[in-house]
Amino acid sequence: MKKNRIIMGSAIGLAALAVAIDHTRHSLPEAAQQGMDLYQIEGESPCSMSAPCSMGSSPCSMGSPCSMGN
Amino acid sequence: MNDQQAAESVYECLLEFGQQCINPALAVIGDAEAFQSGRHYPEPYLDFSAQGLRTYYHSHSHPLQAEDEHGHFHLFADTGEGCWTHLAALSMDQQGQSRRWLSTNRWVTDECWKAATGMQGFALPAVDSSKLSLVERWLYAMLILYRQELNQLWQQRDDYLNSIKKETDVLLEDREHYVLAGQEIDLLQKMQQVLQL
Repeated sequence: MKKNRIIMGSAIGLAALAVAIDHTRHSLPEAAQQGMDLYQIEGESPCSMSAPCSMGSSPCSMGSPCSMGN
Repeated sequence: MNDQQAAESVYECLLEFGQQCINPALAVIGDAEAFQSGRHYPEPYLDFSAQGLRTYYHSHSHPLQAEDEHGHFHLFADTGEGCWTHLAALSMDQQGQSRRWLSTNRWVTDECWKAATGMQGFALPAVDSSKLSLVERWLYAMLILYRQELNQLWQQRDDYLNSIKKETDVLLEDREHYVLAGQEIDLLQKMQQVLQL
């Protein structure tokens, strides 16, 4: 059964939800400058919390460029 | 927080993002003109350690991410053993919309590796939302809203690893294996389902 819910004092339905999502559609910026992707460095990890200058070696870890990581 | 409360929290966050004419990625990128791939947004990360979570947003140059992807939030959880494990990456498209959950190999995030069986037992701590930023609240609610998909993601990741005939320790550091699993998501459909709209 279709129904509306009360959230933040307002009744929402599918249409209201779709509009709320749509209002967050904004183009994200293109990279103005190529940062250093750690996969470009042999042995580094692209997502670590550490980055090129840190003790970490993962591209997507929590370490940041030149930080000590944790 | 149950999944309905999580969906309501996501909705509230969407309204706030909309009022500010931003989305979660723009909220952390800040100065759009200075955006660089490979950097963390924010530097070094959002730290809501009281809840045992850390996150940052970043993008990679090709070929490390899909063509329709702008970047992704990496989410880490405190293992309670003095290190952090990577929960998942939440991929965002060029319009700042969440598109898929991704799981990466250990070497990618330099994480403390946890098998799916350990991850599935991981309980997100209760949170005082008033102490979280808008992006933190949104990410926390997304983690709860998509708990089922994340459980599937971790299992999918481990199944993939188990399908490769290599020593696990070697495989986890193998640069030939980067993204190990993915779960496509449709936020509108998910919230419609959970909120029974």
